[in-house]
Amino acid sequence: MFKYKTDLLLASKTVIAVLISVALTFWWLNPMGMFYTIYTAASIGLMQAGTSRRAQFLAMLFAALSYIALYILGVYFRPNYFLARALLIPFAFIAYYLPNAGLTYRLPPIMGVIVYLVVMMMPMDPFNPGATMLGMAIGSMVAILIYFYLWYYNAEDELLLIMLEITEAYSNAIQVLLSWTHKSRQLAQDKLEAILHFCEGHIASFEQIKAHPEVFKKHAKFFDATEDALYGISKILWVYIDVLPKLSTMNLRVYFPLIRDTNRTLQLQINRLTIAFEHGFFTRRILHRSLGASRNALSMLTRQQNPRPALSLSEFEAALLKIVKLVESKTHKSSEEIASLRLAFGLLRIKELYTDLKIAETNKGK
Amino acid sequence: MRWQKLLNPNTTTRMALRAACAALLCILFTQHFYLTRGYWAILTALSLITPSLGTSIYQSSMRFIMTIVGCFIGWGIYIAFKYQPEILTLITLIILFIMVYTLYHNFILRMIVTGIAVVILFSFIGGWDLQLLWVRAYETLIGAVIAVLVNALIFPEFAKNNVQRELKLLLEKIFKMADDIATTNTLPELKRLSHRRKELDQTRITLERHYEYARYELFLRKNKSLYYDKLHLEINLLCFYFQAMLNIKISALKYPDSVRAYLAASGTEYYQERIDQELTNLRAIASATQKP
Repeated sequence: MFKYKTDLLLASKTVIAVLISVALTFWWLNPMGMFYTIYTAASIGLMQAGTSRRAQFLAMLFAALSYIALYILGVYFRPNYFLARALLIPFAFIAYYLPNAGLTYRLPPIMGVIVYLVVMMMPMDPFNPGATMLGMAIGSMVAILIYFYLWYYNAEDELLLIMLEITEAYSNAIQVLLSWTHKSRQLAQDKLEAILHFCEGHIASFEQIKAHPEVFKKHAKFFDATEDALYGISKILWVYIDVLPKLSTMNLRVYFPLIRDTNRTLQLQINRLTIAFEHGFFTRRILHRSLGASRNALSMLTRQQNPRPALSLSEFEAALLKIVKLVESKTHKSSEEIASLRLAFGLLRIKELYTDLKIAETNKGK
Repeated sequence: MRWQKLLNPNTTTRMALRAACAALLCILFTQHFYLTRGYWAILTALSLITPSLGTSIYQSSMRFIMTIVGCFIGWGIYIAFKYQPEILTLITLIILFIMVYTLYHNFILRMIVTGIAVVILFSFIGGWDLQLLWVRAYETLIGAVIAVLVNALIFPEFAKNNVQRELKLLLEKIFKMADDIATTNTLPELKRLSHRRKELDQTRITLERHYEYARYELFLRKNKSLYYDKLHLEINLLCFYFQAMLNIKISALKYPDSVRAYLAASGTEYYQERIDQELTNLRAIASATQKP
C-alpha cells in the first residue's frame, strides 16, 4: 500500500510529534497558539538537511530558531502597518536567496516567512505571544527528539530501504512478466512502466543521498557496489518494455507463458528463479558483502524477507542456462528468439558478473 | 565582468528577485482592493516561485483548481462532523499524515489535502462558511496569477530553452559515446566509458524534467511534442544498449572462457546492430525536431 517507506516513517513521526505537542500544550495554550505549536512540531521534522546526525540537528535547530525569531518580529512589527508589510519583501528575498550561501534546503526560511506572514496579517491580534513562543519551543523540541530517537534511520538504512523497495518492485515486474499474455499486453506494459518510474524515482533519491559529500566519503564502497545494480535493474526493465511487444509478434509469441505451460522441468526452473528474485538476489549479495559488518542492515534484511534458503550464483547460472537450452530445443535453435531470450536473461547474468568483478577488484585493492 | 554577472544572475538569485517582486505586487494589490485576507494571496504567490515558467504555469493552475476541490471536500467534512470535534481532530491527523507522506511525490494530492486542512483549521479557530470559501478561491487565484506574471517577466527562464540546450548536449554526448564504444577495447578505457554513460543518464533525466515543464509553456507544437516523445524512447534505449555493450566488452576481456565468452561474442554483434539502428532513428527524429 505504501510505496515510499522512508516517507511513511517520516509521516508517522510527524503525527506522533504533533500529538505529543498537543498533549503537552492544549490545557494552557489558546487555539491560535496551538496552531503555531502544531505548525512548528509538524514542519521541524521535515527540515533535516544533510545526512549526518549533527548536520540534521543543526538544520532543525536553525529552522526552529528562525520560526521563533520570525514570530517575534511579526508580533513586534504588527502594530506598524506599513513597516510590517514592507519588511515582508526583504524577508521573501532572503528566504529564496539563502541557498546561494550554501544552505542545501530552501524550505526552512520559506516556512519561517510563512509564520511571519500569518502573524502579521491575521485579522485577530496575537494572544499571549510569550505562551505561544513557549509552545513553539516545546513543539520544536518534541519534533527533534522524536526525529532522532524514534525509528531513526541513517544514510545506510535509508539506502538499504531504497534497495529493498526496488527489489520488491523488481520482483513484481517478474510476476508481471510471468503472467504476460498477448491479450493483456497493454496492461502488463503499463504495469511495467509504473514499476520503472517507481525505480527511477528511487534512483533519484539514491543520487540525492550520494550527492552529499560527507556521506559519499564515508560510504564510497557501498555506493560503488550498489550503483550498478540500481541502474541495471532500471535499464533491464526498459528492455523488457521494449522487447516483449516485439517478441509477441514473433513465432515464439511470448516466451514466458510458453516456458510456464509446456514443461514441468522448466516450470521448476522458473520457480527457482522467482525465489531468487524474491530474495532480492542482486541486493542481498551486494549488501552482505559491502555492509557485512552492519547489524542494522542484516536485521532489516531478515525482517523484510522470509528466511528461505538463497540460491548460489552457480545454481542461478545453471537455472538460466537450462532455460536457454530448453527454449533453444523448442525453437530449433534458430534466429532472433534466442537472441531475445539472451537479452532478457543473459543480461542479468552479465550485470551480476560485472558487479562481482568490481567487488573482487575492491577486495584486491585492500 | 561584474556587470555581466549582475545582468545574468543564477537561478537562485532570479528566484529571490521574483519572490521579492511577488511579495511587493501582492501587498500593493491587497492594499489597493482592501482585501481582508490578503495573506492567502501572498502565501500562494510566494510558494509558487519556481525555476522556470513552465513549472510555474503547471503548479499555479493545479494549486488553484485543487485548492477549490480541497475546500469543497473540507467543507463537506466540516458540515458532516461539525458537532463532533473528536472526529474532526482525527481527520486532521490523517490529513497531516497524508500531507507529509505526499510531500515529495504527489503535488496534486498535497494541494487537495492542504485545502481540506485549511477548512478544518478555520473551523477550530473561528468557523467556515461559503463566504470564506469564495474569498480563499479568488485570493488563491490572485496569488497564482501574480506568481505566473512574475515568473514570466522578472529574469524569466523558459523550460523550452532548457530543453533545447540539454537536448543538444545529450545528442552530442550520445554520438560521441557510440563512436568511442565501437573503437575502445582496453579495460581502463571501457571503465571510463561506463562512468561517462552514467553521466549521460543524468543528462537524460534532466532533459526529461525540463521537457515535462516545457509542455506547460504552450510553446511546443503538437507534432514537436510527438517527436520529443519518440526521442525520449530512443534515447532511453540507446543508453541501455550502450551500457549492455560496455558490460559485455568488459566481461569478455576479463572472463574469456566458456559461457561468458559465448554470451559476449553473440551479444556484441546483437547490440552493435541495435545501436546502429537506434542511432539512425535518433538522427532522423533529431533533425525533424530541430526544424522550425
